[in-house]
Amino acid sequence: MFSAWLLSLVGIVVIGVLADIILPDGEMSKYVKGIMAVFTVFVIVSPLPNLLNAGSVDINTSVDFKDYDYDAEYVEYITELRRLSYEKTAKREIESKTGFACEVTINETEGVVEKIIVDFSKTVMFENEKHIFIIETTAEYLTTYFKINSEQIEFVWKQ
Amino acid sequence: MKRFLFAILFMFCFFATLIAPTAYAEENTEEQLEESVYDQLDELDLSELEQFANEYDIDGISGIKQTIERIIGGEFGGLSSESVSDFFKSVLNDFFGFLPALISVIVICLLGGILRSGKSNFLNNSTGEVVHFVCYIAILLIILGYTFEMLNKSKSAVYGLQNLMNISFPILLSFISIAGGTTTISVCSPLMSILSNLIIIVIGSVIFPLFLAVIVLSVVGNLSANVNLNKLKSSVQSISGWLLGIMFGLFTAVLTGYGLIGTSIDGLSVKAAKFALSGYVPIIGGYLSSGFDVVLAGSLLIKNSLGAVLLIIMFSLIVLPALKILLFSLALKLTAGIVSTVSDARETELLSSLSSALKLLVAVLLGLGFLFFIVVILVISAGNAGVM
Repeated sequence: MFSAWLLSLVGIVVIGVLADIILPDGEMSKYVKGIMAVFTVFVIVSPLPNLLNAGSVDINTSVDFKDYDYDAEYVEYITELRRLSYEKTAKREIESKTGFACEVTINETEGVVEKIIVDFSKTVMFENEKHIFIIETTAEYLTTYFKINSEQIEFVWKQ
Repeated sequence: MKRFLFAILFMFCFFATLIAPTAYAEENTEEQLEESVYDQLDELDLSELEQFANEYDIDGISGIKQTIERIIGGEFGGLSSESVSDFFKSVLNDFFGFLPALISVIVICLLGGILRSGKSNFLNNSTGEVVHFVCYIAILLIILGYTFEMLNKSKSAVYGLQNLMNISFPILLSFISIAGGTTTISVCSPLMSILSNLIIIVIGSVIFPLFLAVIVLSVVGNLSANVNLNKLKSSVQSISGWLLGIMFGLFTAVLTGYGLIGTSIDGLSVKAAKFALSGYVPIIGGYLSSGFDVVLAGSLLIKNSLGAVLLIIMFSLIVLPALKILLFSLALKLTAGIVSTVSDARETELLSSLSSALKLLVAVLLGLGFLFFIVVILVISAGNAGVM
Protein backbone atom coordinates (compact mmCIF):
# COMPACT_ATOMS: atom_id res chain seq x y z
CA MET A 1 0.00 0.00 0.00
CA PHE A 2 2.81 2.34 0.98
CA SER A 3 4.87 1.78 -2.18
CA ALA A 4 1.73 2.09 -4.33
CA TRP A 5 1.02 5.45 -2.70
CA LEU A 6 4.58 6.65 -3.31
CA LEU A 7 4.49 5.47 -6.94
CA SER A 8 1.17 7.22 -7.63
CA LEU A 9 2.57 10.40 -6.08
CA VAL A 10 5.66 10.19 -8.30
CA GLY A 11 3.42 9.48 -11.30
CA ILE A 12 1.12 12.47 -10.78
CA VAL A 13 4.03 14.88 -10.21
CA VAL A 14 5.91 13.62 -13.31
CA ILE A 15 2.73 13.98 -15.42
CA GLY A 16 2.34 17.53 -14.04
CA VAL A 17 5.93 18.39 -14.93
CA LEU A 18 5.56 16.96 -18.45
CA ALA A 19 2.31 18.87 -18.92
CA ASP A 20 4.05 22.00 -17.72
CA ILE A 21 6.81 21.52 -20.28
CA ILE A 22 4.60 20.51 -23.22
CA LEU A 23 1.74 23.01 -22.79
CA PRO A 24 2.31 26.44 -24.30
CA ASP A 25 2.35 29.47 -22.00
CA GLY A 26 -1.14 30.91 -21.72
CA GLU A 27 -4.49 30.75 -19.94
CA MET A 28 -4.83 26.98 -20.50
CA SER A 29 -1.56 26.30 -18.70
CA LYS A 30 -2.84 27.94 -15.49
CA TYR A 31 -5.94 25.70 -15.40
CA VAL A 32 -3.90 22.57 -16.07
CA LYS A 33 -1.51 23.46 -13.24
CA GLY A 34 -4.45 24.01 -10.92
CA ILE A 35 -6.04 20.67 -11.83
CA MET A 36 -2.73 18.86 -11.40
CA ALA A 37 -2.30 20.46 -7.96
CA VAL A 38 -5.77 19.21 -6.94
CA PHE A 39 -4.95 15.72 -8.23
CA THR A 40 -1.68 15.76 -6.26
CA VAL A 41 -3.54 16.61 -3.06
CA PHE A 42 -6.00 13.77 -3.76
CA VAL A 43 -3.12 11.35 -4.21
CA ILE A 44 -1.44 12.54 -0.99
CA VAL A 45 -4.59 12.08 1.10
CA SER A 46 -5.74 8.89 -0.65
CA PRO A 47 -4.40 6.49 2.06
CA LEU A 48 -6.27 8.35 4.82
CA PRO A 49 -9.69 6.66 4.31
CA ASN A 50 -7.97 3.28 4.42
CA LEU A 51 -6.13 4.23 7.61
CA LEU A 52 -9.30 5.50 9.25
CA ASN A 53 -11.18 2.39 8.27
CA ALA A 54 -10.23 0.10 11.13
CA GLY A 55 -11.33 -2.98 9.21
CA SER A 56 -8.61 -2.66 6.66
CA VAL A 57 -5.82 -2.22 9.20
CA ASP A 58 -4.80 -5.50 10.72
CA ILE A 59 -3.87 -4.40 14.21
CA ASN A 60 -3.84 -7.98 15.48
CA THR A 61 -0.83 -8.88 13.39
CA SER A 62 1.24 -10.91 15.81
CA VAL A 63 4.98 -10.42 15.96
CA ASP A 64 6.87 -13.64 16.37
CA PHE A 65 9.04 -12.80 19.40
CA LYS A 66 12.19 -14.78 19.95
CA ASP A 67 12.62 -15.48 23.65
CA TYR A 68 16.11 -15.95 24.99
CA ASP A 69 17.02 -18.52 27.57
CA TYR A 70 20.33 -19.64 28.99
CA ASP A 71 22.13 -22.79 27.85
CA ALA A 72 21.00 -25.19 30.59
CA GLU A 73 23.56 -27.83 29.60
CA TYR A 74 26.49 -25.43 29.98
CA VAL A 75 25.18 -24.04 33.27
CA GLU A 76 24.83 -27.62 34.57
CA TYR A 77 28.41 -28.37 33.49
CA ILE A 78 29.75 -25.30 35.35
CA THR A 79 27.68 -26.19 38.45
CA GLU A 80 29.26 -29.65 38.38
CA LEU A 81 32.72 -28.07 38.02
CA ARG A 82 32.00 -25.87 41.02
CA ARG A 83 30.83 -28.87 43.07
CA LEU A 84 34.02 -30.75 42.20
CA SER A 85 36.07 -27.69 43.13
CA TYR A 86 34.27 -27.48 46.51
CA GLU A 87 34.93 -31.17 47.13
CA LYS A 88 38.58 -30.78 46.19
CA THR A 89 39.10 -27.82 48.50
CA ALA A 90 37.17 -29.40 51.38
CA LYS A 91 39.21 -32.60 51.05
CA ARG A 92 42.44 -30.59 51.09
CA GLU A 93 41.40 -28.59 54.15
CA ILE A 94 40.15 -31.63 56.12
CA GLU A 95 43.35 -33.52 55.30
CA SER A 96 45.49 -30.61 56.43
CA LYS A 97 43.47 -30.13 59.64
CA THR A 98 43.18 -33.80 60.67
CA GLY A 99 46.31 -35.21 59.06
CA PHE A 100 44.38 -38.11 57.53
CA ALA A 101 43.55 -38.80 53.91
CA CYS A 102 39.88 -38.67 53.02
CA GLU A 103 37.41 -38.39 50.15
CA VAL A 104 34.65 -35.76 50.25
CA THR A 105 31.39 -36.08 48.32
CA ILE A 106 28.89 -33.24 48.29
CA ASN A 107 25.28 -34.11 47.54
CA GLU A 108 23.41 -31.03 46.42
CA THR A 109 20.15 -30.14 44.72
CA GLU A 110 20.09 -26.95 42.66
CA GLY A 111 23.08 -25.51 44.48
CA VAL A 112 21.78 -26.31 48.00
CA VAL A 113 24.03 -28.67 49.95
CA GLU A 114 21.97 -31.57 51.33
CA LYS A 115 24.59 -33.96 52.60
CA ILE A 116 28.38 -34.18 52.79
CA ILE A 117 29.98 -37.60 52.95
CA VAL A 118 33.51 -37.71 54.36
CA ASP A 119 35.11 -41.05 53.61
CA PHE A 120 38.05 -42.08 55.84
CA SER A 121 37.85 -45.73 54.78
CA LYS A 122 41.25 -45.58 53.09
CA THR A 123 42.93 -44.92 56.41
CA VAL A 124 43.62 -47.56 59.05
CA MET A 125 40.83 -46.26 61.31
CA PHE A 126 37.97 -48.68 61.89
CA GLU A 127 34.33 -47.81 62.54
CA ASN A 128 34.26 -49.24 66.07
CA GLU A 129 37.12 -46.95 67.20
CA LYS A 130 36.57 -43.48 68.63
CA HIS A 131 37.78 -40.62 66.42
CA ILE A 132 36.51 -37.67 68.45
CA PHE A 133 39.20 -35.22 67.30
CA ILE A 134 38.71 -36.02 63.61
CA ILE A 135 34.92 -35.92 63.83
CA GLU A 136 34.85 -32.65 65.76
CA THR A 137 37.44 -30.91 63.59
CA THR A 138 35.78 -32.02 60.35
CA ALA A 139 32.27 -31.21 61.56
CA GLU A 140 33.32 -27.77 62.85
CA TYR A 141 34.91 -26.93 59.53
CA LEU A 142 32.07 -28.23 57.35
CA THR A 143 29.23 -26.76 59.44
CA THR A 144 30.92 -23.36 59.52
CA TYR A 145 31.82 -23.28 55.88
CA PHE A 146 28.75 -24.83 54.26
CA LYS A 147 26.25 -23.63 56.87
CA ILE A 148 24.86 -27.13 57.38
CA ASN A 149 23.89 -29.11 60.48
CA SER A 150 26.17 -31.80 61.85
CA GLU A 151 23.38 -34.31 61.01
CA GLN A 152 23.98 -33.57 57.37
CA ILE A 153 27.54 -34.87 57.62
CA GLU A 154 28.13 -38.59 57.15
CA PHE A 155 31.41 -40.26 58.08
CA VAL A 156 32.56 -43.46 56.41
CA TRP A 157 35.18 -45.59 58.16
CA LYS A 158 36.99 -48.80 57.39
CA GLN A 159 34.72 -51.77 58.13
CA MET B 1 70.00 -57.49 44.81
CA LYS B 2 66.27 -58.01 44.26
CA ARG B 3 65.57 -57.28 47.90
CA PHE B 4 67.69 -54.14 47.69
CA LEU B 5 65.82 -52.89 44.62
CA PHE B 6 62.47 -53.72 46.25
CA ALA B 7 63.54 -51.76 49.36
CA ILE B 8 64.48 -48.72 47.23
CA LEU B 9 61.17 -48.93 45.33
CA PHE B 10 59.26 -49.22 48.61
CA MET B 11 61.09 -46.20 50.07
CA PHE B 12 60.41 -44.19 46.91
CA CYS B 13 56.71 -45.03 46.99
CA PHE B 14 56.51 -44.22 50.70
CA PHE B 15 58.14 -40.78 50.34
CA ALA B 16 56.17 -40.06 47.19
CA THR B 17 52.95 -40.73 49.13
CA LEU B 18 54.10 -38.35 51.87
CA ILE B 19 55.17 -35.58 49.49
CA ALA B 20 52.18 -35.81 47.12
CA PRO B 21 49.53 -34.14 49.31
CA THR B 22 51.93 -31.31 50.19
CA ALA B 23 52.74 -30.66 46.55
CA TYR B 24 49.05 -30.89 45.70
CA ALA B 25 48.16 -28.39 48.41
CA GLU B 26 50.70 -25.94 47.11
CA GLU B 27 49.12 -25.87 43.68
CA ASN B 28 48.97 -22.29 42.67
CA THR B 29 45.55 -20.60 42.68
CA GLU B 30 46.53 -18.86 39.46
CA GLU B 31 47.17 -22.21 37.79
CA GLN B 32 43.84 -23.50 39.07
CA LEU B 33 42.14 -20.45 37.63
CA GLU B 34 43.88 -20.88 34.29
CA GLU B 35 42.94 -24.56 34.22
CA SER B 36 39.34 -23.70 35.11
CA VAL B 37 39.17 -21.07 32.35
CA TYR B 38 40.45 -23.57 29.75
CA ASP B 39 38.01 -26.24 30.95
CA GLN B 40 35.06 -23.86 30.74
CA LEU B 41 36.13 -22.46 27.37
CA ASP B 42 36.49 -25.96 25.92
CA GLU B 43 32.94 -26.80 26.90
CA LEU B 44 31.49 -23.45 25.73
CA ASP B 45 29.87 -23.68 22.28
CA LEU B 46 30.99 -20.60 20.34
CA SER B 47 30.79 -22.17 16.87
CA GLU B 48 27.94 -19.92 15.71
CA LEU B 49 29.78 -16.81 16.89
CA GLU B 50 32.97 -18.00 15.14
CA GLN B 51 30.97 -18.54 11.95
CA PHE B 52 29.44 -15.08 12.30
CA ALA B 53 32.87 -13.41 12.77
CA ASN B 54 34.21 -15.26 9.71
CA GLU B 55 31.15 -14.36 7.64
CA TYR B 56 31.44 -10.64 8.42
CA ASP B 57 35.27 -10.72 8.34
CA ILE B 58 35.69 -8.81 11.60
CA ASP B 59 39.10 -7.13 11.88
CA GLY B 60 41.20 -8.02 14.94
CA ILE B 61 39.16 -11.15 15.75
CA SER B 62 41.00 -14.27 14.69
CA GLY B 63 39.05 -17.04 16.42
CA ILE B 64 36.66 -16.09 19.23
CA LYS B 65 38.11 -18.54 21.77
CA GLN B 66 41.68 -17.49 20.98
CA THR B 67 40.74 -13.82 21.35
CA ILE B 68 39.04 -14.54 24.71
CA GLU B 69 42.17 -16.40 25.86
CA ARG B 70 44.36 -13.50 24.72
CA ILE B 71 42.17 -10.98 26.59
CA ILE B 72 42.23 -13.09 29.79
CA GLY B 73 45.99 -13.60 29.44
CA GLY B 74 46.51 -9.86 29.02
CA GLU B 75 48.02 -10.34 25.57
CA PHE B 76 45.26 -8.53 23.71
CA GLY B 77 46.37 -4.95 23.29
CA GLY B 78 43.09 -3.74 21.81
CA LEU B 79 43.01 -2.69 18.19
CA SER B 80 46.39 -2.75 16.48
CA SER B 81 47.70 0.32 14.67
CA GLU B 82 47.39 -1.72 11.48
CA SER B 83 43.66 -2.31 11.93
CA VAL B 84 43.09 1.35 12.88
CA SER B 85 44.96 2.48 9.74
CA ASP B 86 42.98 -0.09 7.66
CA PHE B 87 39.78 1.35 9.14
CA PHE B 88 40.65 4.91 8.14
CA LYS B 89 41.93 3.75 4.75
CA SER B 90 38.59 2.07 4.11
CA VAL B 91 36.69 5.23 5.12
CA LEU B 92 38.91 7.44 2.94
CA ASN B 93 38.66 5.01 0.01
CA ASP B 94 34.88 5.23 0.20
CA PHE B 95 35.05 9.01 0.37
CA PHE B 96 37.34 9.18 -2.67
CA GLY B 97 35.05 6.61 -4.32
CA PHE B 98 32.08 8.95 -4.38
CA LEU B 99 34.14 12.11 -4.96
CA PRO B 100 34.05 11.76 -8.81
CA ALA B 101 30.26 11.43 -8.63
CA LEU B 102 29.98 14.60 -6.59
CA ILE B 103 32.31 16.43 -9.00
CA SER B 104 30.04 15.28 -11.84
CA VAL B 105 27.05 16.72 -9.96
CA ILE B 106 28.88 20.05 -9.60
CA VAL B 107 29.72 20.05 -13.34
CA ILE B 108 26.08 19.24 -14.29
CA CYS B 109 24.81 22.03 -12.06
CA LEU B 110 27.36 24.42 -13.56
CA LEU B 111 26.32 23.53 -17.13
CA GLY B 112 22.65 23.80 -16.18
CA GLY B 113 23.29 27.23 -14.65
CA ILE B 114 25.08 28.43 -17.82
CA LEU B 115 22.22 27.20 -20.04
CA ARG B 116 19.59 28.78 -17.80
CA SER B 117 21.40 32.11 -17.91
CA GLY B 118 20.57 32.22 -21.65
CA LYS B 119 16.85 31.82 -20.88
CA SER B 120 16.13 35.53 -20.81
CA ASN B 121 17.93 36.05 -24.13
CA PHE B 122 17.19 33.21 -26.49
CA LEU B 123 15.44 30.47 -24.50
CA ASN B 124 11.86 30.55 -23.28
CA ASN B 125 10.50 29.40 -19.89
CA SER B 126 9.58 25.92 -21.09
CA THR B 127 13.08 25.35 -22.44
CA GLY B 128 14.45 26.49 -19.07
CA GLU B 129 12.22 23.89 -17.40
CA VAL B 130 13.49 21.23 -19.81
CA VAL B 131 17.07 22.16 -18.92
CA HIS B 132 16.22 21.86 -15.23
CA PHE B 133 14.42 18.55 -15.82
CA VAL B 134 17.39 17.07 -17.69
CA CYS B 135 19.93 18.30 -15.12
CA TYR B 136 17.72 17.03 -12.31
CA ILE B 137 17.41 13.54 -13.83
CA ALA B 138 21.19 13.43 -14.44
CA ILE B 139 21.88 14.38 -10.78
CA LEU B 140 19.35 11.79 -9.60
CA LEU B 141 20.94 9.04 -11.68
CA ILE B 142 24.27 9.77 -10.02
CA ILE B 143 23.15 10.38 -6.45
CA LEU B 144 20.33 7.84 -5.98
CA GLY B 145 22.63 4.86 -6.63
CA TYR B 146 24.85 5.93 -3.74
CA THR B 147 21.85 6.71 -1.53
CA PHE B 148 20.40 3.21 -2.01
CA GLU B 149 23.87 1.74 -1.43
CA MET B 150 23.93 3.55 1.93
CA LEU B 151 20.44 2.20 2.72
CA ASN B 152 21.60 -1.33 1.92
CA LYS B 153 24.71 -0.86 4.06
CA SER B 154 22.63 0.17 7.05
CA LYS B 155 20.10 -2.63 6.46
CA SER B 156 22.95 -5.13 6.36
CA ALA B 157 24.42 -3.67 9.59
CA VAL B 158 21.06 -3.71 11.40
CA TYR B 159 20.21 -7.30 10.44
CA GLY B 160 23.82 -8.33 11.14
CA LEU B 161 23.48 -6.90 14.63
CA GLN B 162 20.18 -8.76 15.08
CA ASN B 163 21.95 -11.95 14.08
CA LEU B 164 24.74 -11.19 16.57
CA MET B 165 22.14 -10.64 19.31
CA ASN B 166 20.39 -13.93 18.51
CA ILE B 167 23.72 -15.76 18.79
CA SER B 168 25.23 -13.98 21.79
CA PHE B 169 22.30 -13.33 24.14
CA PRO B 170 21.75 -16.99 25.21
CA ILE B 171 25.51 -17.30 25.95
CA LEU B 172 25.49 -14.09 28.00
CA LEU B 173 22.38 -15.25 29.91
CA SER B 174 24.15 -18.53 30.73
CA PHE B 175 27.01 -16.59 32.33
CA ILE B 176 24.59 -14.41 34.34
CA SER B 177 22.89 -17.60 35.52
CA ILE B 178 26.25 -19.09 36.58
CA ALA B 179 27.07 -15.90 38.53
CA GLY B 180 23.74 -16.27 40.36
CA GLY B 181 22.06 -13.31 38.65
CA THR B 182 18.52 -14.64 38.67
CA THR B 183 16.95 -11.18 39.00
CA THR B 184 19.17 -9.81 36.22
CA ILE B 185 18.07 -12.70 33.98
CA SER B 186 14.40 -12.03 34.67
CA VAL B 187 14.99 -8.36 33.75
CA CYS B 188 17.44 -8.82 30.88
CA SER B 189 15.74 -11.65 29.02
CA PRO B 190 12.55 -9.73 28.05
CA LEU B 191 14.53 -6.56 27.37
CA MET B 192 16.90 -8.47 25.08
CA SER B 193 13.84 -9.90 23.35
CA ILE B 194 12.39 -6.39 22.87
CA LEU B 195 15.69 -5.08 21.51
CA SER B 196 16.31 -7.83 18.99
CA ASN B 197 12.67 -8.28 17.95
CA LEU B 198 10.44 -5.27 18.47
CA ILE B 199 12.98 -2.49 17.94
CA ILE B 200 14.55 -4.10 14.88
CA ILE B 201 11.12 -4.93 13.45
CA VAL B 202 10.08 -1.28 13.91
CA ILE B 203 13.32 -0.13 12.27
CA GLY B 204 12.94 -2.58 9.39
CA SER B 205 9.24 -2.09 8.72
CA VAL B 206 8.68 1.55 9.73
CA ILE B 207 11.90 3.58 9.85
CA PHE B 208 13.45 2.26 6.62
CA PRO B 209 10.19 2.72 4.60
CA LEU B 210 9.84 6.22 6.10
CA PHE B 211 13.42 6.93 5.00
CA LEU B 212 12.47 5.79 1.49
CA ALA B 213 9.40 8.02 1.64
CA VAL B 214 11.57 11.00 2.62
CA ILE B 215 13.88 10.27 -0.34
CA VAL B 216 10.95 9.96 -2.78
CA LEU B 217 9.26 13.11 -1.44
CA SER B 218 12.57 15.02 -1.68
CA VAL B 219 13.00 13.90 -5.28
CA VAL B 220 9.39 14.50 -6.33
CA GLY B 221 8.98 17.70 -4.33
CA ASN B 222 11.86 19.41 -6.09
CA LEU B 223 10.97 18.18 -9.56
CA SER B 224 8.49 20.95 -10.27
CA ALA B 225 8.07 24.46 -8.93
CA ASN B 226 4.30 23.92 -8.99
CA VAL B 227 4.27 20.99 -6.57
CA ASN B 228 5.89 21.74 -3.25
CA LEU B 229 6.15 18.63 -1.08
CA ASN B 230 8.89 19.90 1.23
CA LYS B 231 6.54 20.34 4.18
CA LEU B 232 5.22 16.81 3.76
CA LYS B 233 8.78 15.53 3.53
CA SER B 234 9.76 17.46 6.68
CA SER B 235 6.80 16.04 8.59
CA VAL B 236 7.61 12.43 7.54
CA GLN B 237 11.24 13.01 8.51
CA SER B 238 10.17 14.51 11.80
CA ILE B 239 7.83 11.56 12.55
CA SER B 240 10.59 9.04 11.91
CA GLY B 241 13.05 11.04 14.05
CA TRP B 242 10.59 11.27 16.94
CA LEU B 243 9.66 7.60 16.68
CA LEU B 244 13.31 6.62 16.79
CA GLY B 245 14.05 9.00 19.66
CA ILE B 246 11.11 7.84 21.79
CA MET B 247 11.86 4.17 21.13
CA PHE B 248 15.57 4.43 21.96
CA GLY B 249 14.98 6.80 24.88
CA LEU B 250 12.35 4.59 26.51
CA PHE B 251 14.37 1.45 26.03
CA THR B 252 17.55 3.03 27.43
CA ALA B 253 15.69 4.37 30.46
CA VAL B 254 13.97 1.05 31.22
CA LEU B 255 17.12 -0.98 30.58
CA THR B 256 19.32 1.23 32.73
CA GLY B 257 16.80 1.47 35.56
CA TYR B 258 15.74 -2.16 35.77
CA GLY B 259 19.20 -3.41 34.86
CA LEU B 260 20.91 -1.51 37.66
CA ILE B 261 18.25 -2.58 40.18
CA GLY B 262 18.51 -6.22 39.08
CA THR B 263 22.31 -6.16 39.20
CA SER B 264 22.34 -4.64 42.69
CA ILE B 265 19.80 -7.15 44.03
CA ASP B 266 21.83 -10.03 42.59
CA GLY B 267 25.06 -8.50 43.86
CA LEU B 268 23.64 -8.32 47.38
CA SER B 269 22.32 -11.90 47.31
CA VAL B 270 25.60 -13.33 46.00
CA LYS B 271 27.54 -11.33 48.60
CA ALA B 272 25.20 -12.54 51.34
CA ALA B 273 25.60 -16.14 50.17
CA LYS B 274 29.36 -15.76 50.03
CA PHE B 275 29.40 -14.24 53.50
CA ALA B 276 27.31 -17.09 54.86
CA LEU B 277 29.67 -19.55 53.26
CA SER B 278 33.06 -18.27 54.29
CA GLY B 279 32.60 -15.29 56.56
CA TYR B 280 33.89 -16.86 59.76
CA VAL B 281 36.28 -19.49 58.50
CA PRO B 282 39.61 -19.05 60.23
CA ILE B 283 41.87 -19.62 57.24
CA ILE B 284 45.30 -18.11 56.90
CA GLY B 285 45.38 -15.63 54.02
CA GLY B 286 41.86 -16.53 52.92
CA TYR B 287 43.28 -19.30 50.77
CA LEU B 288 40.24 -21.48 51.05
CA SER B 289 37.73 -18.79 50.23
CA SER B 290 39.68 -17.83 47.13
CA GLY B 291 40.11 -21.49 46.23
CA PHE B 292 36.37 -22.00 46.46
CA ASP B 293 35.66 -19.29 43.91
CA VAL B 294 38.10 -20.45 41.23
CA VAL B 295 35.41 -21.81 38.89
CA LEU B 296 33.17 -18.78 39.37
CA ALA B 297 36.11 -16.39 38.90
CA GLY B 298 37.05 -18.22 35.69
CA SER B 299 33.48 -17.97 34.48
CA LEU B 300 33.41 -14.23 35.20
CA LEU B 301 36.68 -13.75 33.32
CA ILE B 302 35.25 -15.54 30.28
CA LYS B 303 31.99 -13.56 30.50
CA ASN B 304 33.77 -10.20 30.66
CA SER B 305 36.18 -11.10 27.85
CA LEU B 306 33.31 -12.37 25.71
CA GLY B 307 31.56 -9.05 26.36
CA ALA B 308 34.65 -7.21 25.14
CA VAL B 309 34.78 -9.40 21.99
CA LEU B 310 31.09 -8.71 21.32
CA LEU B 311 31.68 -4.98 21.64
CA ILE B 312 34.56 -5.18 19.13
CA ILE B 313 32.32 -7.09 16.69
CA MET B 314 29.50 -4.57 17.19
CA PHE B 315 31.95 -1.71 16.61
CA SER B 316 33.12 -3.27 13.33
CA LEU B 317 29.53 -3.92 12.23
CA ILE B 318 28.07 -0.53 13.05
CA VAL B 319 30.70 2.19 13.19
CA LEU B 320 32.25 1.74 9.74
CA PRO B 321 28.95 1.94 7.77
CA ALA B 322 27.72 4.76 10.03
CA LEU B 323 30.89 6.74 9.37
CA LYS B 324 30.63 6.13 5.61
CA ILE B 325 27.00 7.28 5.54
CA LEU B 326 27.89 10.34 7.62
CA LEU B 327 30.75 11.21 5.25
CA PHE B 328 28.46 10.84 2.23
CA SER B 329 25.85 13.02 3.92
CA LEU B 330 28.43 15.72 4.69
CA ALA B 331 29.81 15.53 1.14
CA LEU B 332 26.28 16.01 -0.25
CA LYS B 333 25.79 19.01 2.04
CA LEU B 334 29.11 20.45 0.87
CA THR B 335 28.14 19.88 -2.80
CA ALA B 336 24.80 21.61 -2.17
CA GLY B 337 26.70 24.55 -0.69
CA ILE B 338 29.09 24.72 -3.65
CA VAL B 339 26.41 24.55 -6.36
CA SER B 340 23.95 26.86 -4.61
CA THR B 341 25.48 29.92 -6.35
CA VAL B 342 25.01 28.61 -9.90
CA SER B 343 22.30 25.98 -9.88
CA ASP B 344 18.51 26.09 -9.61
CA ALA B 345 17.28 26.34 -6.00
CA ARG B 346 15.41 23.01 -6.44
CA GLU B 347 18.61 21.13 -7.27
CA THR B 348 20.34 22.59 -4.21
CA GLU B 349 17.30 21.70 -2.10
CA LEU B 350 17.37 18.12 -3.43
CA LEU B 351 21.02 17.63 -2.41
CA SER B 352 20.40 19.24 0.95
CA SER B 353 17.27 17.12 1.60
CA LEU B 354 19.04 13.87 0.70
CA SER B 355 21.89 14.85 3.00
CA SER B 356 19.59 15.43 5.97
CA ALA B 357 17.59 12.24 5.21
CA LEU B 358 20.79 10.19 5.39
CA LYS B 359 21.31 11.37 8.97
CA LEU B 360 18.31 9.19 9.88
CA LEU B 361 20.28 6.10 8.87
CA VAL B 362 23.26 7.26 10.95
CA ALA B 363 20.93 7.77 13.92
CA VAL B 364 19.46 4.27 13.46
CA LEU B 365 22.90 2.63 13.39
CA LEU B 366 24.45 4.58 16.25
CA GLY B 367 21.30 4.28 18.40
CA LEU B 368 21.07 0.55 17.89
CA GLY B 369 24.80 0.15 18.57
CA PHE B 370 24.39 2.16 21.77
CA LEU B 371 21.51 -0.05 22.98
CA PHE B 372 23.55 -3.19 22.29
CA PHE B 373 26.48 -1.58 24.12
CA ILE B 374 24.33 -0.90 27.21
CA VAL B 375 22.96 -4.47 27.23
CA VAL B 376 26.47 -5.96 27.01
CA ILE B 377 27.83 -3.59 29.69
CA LEU B 378 24.90 -4.55 31.94
CA VAL B 379 25.68 -8.24 31.46
CA ILE B 380 29.40 -7.63 32.07
CA SER B 381 28.63 -5.81 35.32
CA ALA B 382 26.10 -8.47 36.43
CA GLY B 383 27.67 -10.87 38.90
CA ASN B 384 30.93 -8.95 39.22
CA ALA B 385 29.66 -6.84 42.11
CA GLY B 386 28.65 -9.88 44.11
CA VAL B 387 31.80 -11.87 43.64
CA MET B 388 34.52 -9.22 43.70
